[in-house]
Amino acid sequence: MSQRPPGTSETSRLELIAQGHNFAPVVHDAVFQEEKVLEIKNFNLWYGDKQALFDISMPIPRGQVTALVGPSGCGKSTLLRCVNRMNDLIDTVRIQGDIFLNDQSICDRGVDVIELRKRMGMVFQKPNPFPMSIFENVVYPLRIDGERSRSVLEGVCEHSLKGAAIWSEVKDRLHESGLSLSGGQQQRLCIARAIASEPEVLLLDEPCSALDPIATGKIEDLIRELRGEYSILIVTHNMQQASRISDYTAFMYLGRLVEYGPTVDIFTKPKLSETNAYVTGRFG
Amino acid sequence: MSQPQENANSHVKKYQRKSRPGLTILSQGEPMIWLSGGALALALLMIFGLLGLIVYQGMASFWPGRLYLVTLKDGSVLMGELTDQEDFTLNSSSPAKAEDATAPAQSSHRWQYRTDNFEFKAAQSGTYQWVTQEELSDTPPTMPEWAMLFERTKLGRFIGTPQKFVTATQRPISSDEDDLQDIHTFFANHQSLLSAPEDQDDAVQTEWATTLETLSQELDTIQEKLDALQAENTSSFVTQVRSGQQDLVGVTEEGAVVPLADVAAGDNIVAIHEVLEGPQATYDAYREHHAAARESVHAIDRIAEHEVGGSSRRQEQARLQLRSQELAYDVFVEGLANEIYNLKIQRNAIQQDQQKDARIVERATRVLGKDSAMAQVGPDLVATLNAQRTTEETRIEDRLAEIEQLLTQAPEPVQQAVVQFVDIRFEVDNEIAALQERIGEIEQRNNRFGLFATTADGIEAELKLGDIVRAFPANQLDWMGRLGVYGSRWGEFLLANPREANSEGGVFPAIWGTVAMTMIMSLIVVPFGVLAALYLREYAKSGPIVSIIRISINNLAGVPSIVFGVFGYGFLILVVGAYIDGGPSNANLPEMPQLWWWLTAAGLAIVAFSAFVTTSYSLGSRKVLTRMRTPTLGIVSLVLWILATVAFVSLIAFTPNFHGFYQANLPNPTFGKGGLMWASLTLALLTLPVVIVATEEALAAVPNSLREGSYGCGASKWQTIRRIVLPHALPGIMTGMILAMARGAGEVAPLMLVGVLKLAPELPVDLSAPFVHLDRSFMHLGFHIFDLGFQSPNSEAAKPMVFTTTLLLITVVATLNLFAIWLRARLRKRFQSGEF
Repeated sequence: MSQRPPGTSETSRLELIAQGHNFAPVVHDAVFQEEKVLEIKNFNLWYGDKQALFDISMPIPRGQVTALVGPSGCGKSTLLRCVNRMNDLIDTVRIQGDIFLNDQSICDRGVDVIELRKRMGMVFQKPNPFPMSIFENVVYPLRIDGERSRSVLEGVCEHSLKGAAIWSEVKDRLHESGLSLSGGQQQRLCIARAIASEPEVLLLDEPCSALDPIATGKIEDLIRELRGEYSILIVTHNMQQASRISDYTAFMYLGRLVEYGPTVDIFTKPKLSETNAYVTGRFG
Repeated sequence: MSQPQENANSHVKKYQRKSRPGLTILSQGEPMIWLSGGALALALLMIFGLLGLIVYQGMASFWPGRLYLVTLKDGSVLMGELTDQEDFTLNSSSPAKAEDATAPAQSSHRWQYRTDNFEFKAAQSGTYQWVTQEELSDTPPTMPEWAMLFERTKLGRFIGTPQKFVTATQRPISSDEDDLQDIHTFFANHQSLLSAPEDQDDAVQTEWATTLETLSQELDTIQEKLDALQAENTSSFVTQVRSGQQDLVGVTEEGAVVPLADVAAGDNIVAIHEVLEGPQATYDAYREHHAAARESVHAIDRIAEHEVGGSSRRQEQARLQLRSQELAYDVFVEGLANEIYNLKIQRNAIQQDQQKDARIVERATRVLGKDSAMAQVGPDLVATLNAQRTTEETRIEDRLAEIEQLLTQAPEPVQQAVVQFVDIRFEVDNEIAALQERIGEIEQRNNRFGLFATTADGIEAELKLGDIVRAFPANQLDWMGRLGVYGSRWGEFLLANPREANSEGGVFPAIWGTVAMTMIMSLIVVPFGVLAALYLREYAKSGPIVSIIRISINNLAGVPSIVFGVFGYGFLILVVGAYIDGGPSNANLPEMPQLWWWLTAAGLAIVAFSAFVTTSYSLGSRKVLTRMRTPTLGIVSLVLWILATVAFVSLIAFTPNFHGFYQANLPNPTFGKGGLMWASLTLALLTLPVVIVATEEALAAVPNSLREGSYGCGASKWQTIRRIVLPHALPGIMTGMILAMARGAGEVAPLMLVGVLKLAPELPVDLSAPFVHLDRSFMHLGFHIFDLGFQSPNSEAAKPMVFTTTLLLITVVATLNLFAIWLRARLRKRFQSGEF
């Protein structure tokens, strides 16, 4: 995994993690001072026999942008998908531990997954607008709730599209296919769809990785605008992006949380040299 | 940075690439291009060759050819359409050439003519005739100007020369003539019945002898009067009809033909014929009258089909009503009802005879006066005749009273049904008599015209105008005329019913049957297959069971289609159909005792409820959308469902005291025989794998990201399937439907067992309620081809029709497919723009 010779101090902890050693994550105190919307507690996850998440515990502050960073395969996306129980769709997944949304467990058997997902908008790595009109794409969450009133649907559509900063671009072509938009527009359409049902948490799974720099810039602006209104959990590969848009950053490695704290601290004065190595690009 | 690692691996020998990369022919792949391209070319060649053959032969078969008159060496002549010619080698061992047995094989040429004229040929000779070069006389074949081809509804085609066209005008018979004829016949026939007076007195005897004498004189008088009247009527008729025309002939009572000019005063002419001689005049007259004659034949057909058919159905319904009353009260009265009907018919006949006799005597009295012998003996004669009738009438009345007595023992509704049944039979009799009168009138109008033509051999034949479908002088037609004939033949082919054991005429019922069957099959198989595929792909947890099911479905597609036919016949018709008709006893199923049945019903309720509960828990409700891992509960629920199904099926199959929905029709089966429903179901089963496989593939092709997006929005599984997955998979599902339709429409073997007939009397879908007659047998283009080619008594003549029907079948299948493709494109467009 590592391209550096073993034993270098900056990455020794990571080497040991790779060898299966356990370390307690370093979590900055500032994190605990925020009001938390989500709390992940001692969370473990297995794909079949292979463990993918190891004993993750972290609070997610309300109304802030929290970025999950780490090299490929470190379990960022898996963790994100656990938050709205998307991993339930995979047959072999087994979990231990719990996640709390506003102090209510979401992994409990009695939890209504559909209600849960309605409270969490999710945007995926690849833009996935449904093959319908732009309008229908945005109001899809309302449609499945059985909303029929035209005025309500139109109002929500406009509000969400404005919220996703794409209204001016598509307001004249609401009834064209969502697939006719460009990649960046498609992704913002997906964000509009995710915020149409007024969720508490927005889960963004590498929303910019399939986009060009200009589209990425627009999405980033949008995320900054949405900050405060929604609690945002974003997975990203891009360190600059994490430093630009997030308030808090968690660095994960091989299924373990390594360091978690305010973005400024993580990027400027991390407590672990390994984190420093990763965010400055000397590792990974 | 990576330098140290390379050093560490330096002991591994470096791989040296070959210096002549890709120089061999095989590695460059050139032969593979040729091989694969050649395979494609060969496949295309075969497909287009087959299609080309069918299209060419199918299109060409209706093109009217020229008619040749061929004279053979032995002096015989034949006339026909040239259909084929070939070089061949004279078979030296044939008996005719036995003396040249040593001579080397000799090449020769021969021509095939379609000579038709079935009714004038020896029984074994066919429609076609080969003529070899050796048989041909020195006179070359000619194309006679007036060689005509007549296509007829009966007896096939006729090839010959039109000779004359006869229009007959019947002389109207006045009622006086009728009366005189009746009086004459009555007295002449019944004279012997007169008994001499018993009194032996001479005076009386003399008087009696005189009376007899007078009677015979009066008979002569009547005959004279009749003759005079006929002559008078004849002369006025001749004057009236003639009106300047010269070429008319009269037909006497005996059938002799006299030129009108030679008709002497006193002759009795019953009809006058206008005779047009010569081919041109005949053809012109034919063209003038043919359309009307044809139309009246169609009118007769319509009357026979709809109105007579309707009346018969009414009678059948009355019978069924009677039968169901019988079944309800467990009595048998149909025999009695029929007897009442027959007795009443006899009584009416007797009464009519009595009235008629009385009228004739009265009429005779008026003609000859009160003192005439006829007036005197007439009433005696009538009385004598009536004496016999009265005994018969009394017998009838007695029997009727007896039956009445018997019927009073039957319940009230049965009695009413009997009365109604008899009434309706009389009404229907009257209706049919009236219709037959109408048909008779039309036929009489048609029979006025006679077209006479001679064959090449000189045999004269009368062709009825109404029987001729079309006739044309083949050698005079320019290409426009031939195109007209061609078009008219195609029109008939597509729109008319078949005739001549299917080898001529149209295939409309077969087209109709094919389309109806394919549509109903698709309606059954598509929802069924899509739901099955949906469960397999979206809900079922993949594992060995699902794999086994998938393999089984794929294998089902490979089962020979006749096996499905046998299944359809053995299970659907003989068991399910018979059950629908007459309950378990009719389907040879045992009946459960009543108590057991109720116990099973109660058991079913319990089992079904617990199955429902366990399934809900094992699948999870909305709250536990995904997998609550409860495998034991799942297995329990599966077992319970199987139990419930078994109980349900046996409850239905073994119901005691259930006698089906069509018991009154038995022993005539309604659904217990081949029909549209069973054929569609059988083919639906046959095409099910196609739909399931195609749908599964379409579902698998829906990107998972769309499903995740939908779940992410908080949609349930079903909402995701309905709103995202199904619309996305719809084009693929439509493709499955298209494949299934193409497979189903072209299938023949199973259909022979489950409802296709070579000639179905009625269309399976028509305008009479309930419009779709699922129990009716139907015709099918595929079977039609088989029937024409291999079952037809005259398969040689049917050969062109085989090609044309094949072409049509391919066209129908292609049209159905095009329709489905168009539908798919439309759906795809709608689905892309998202306005659904």
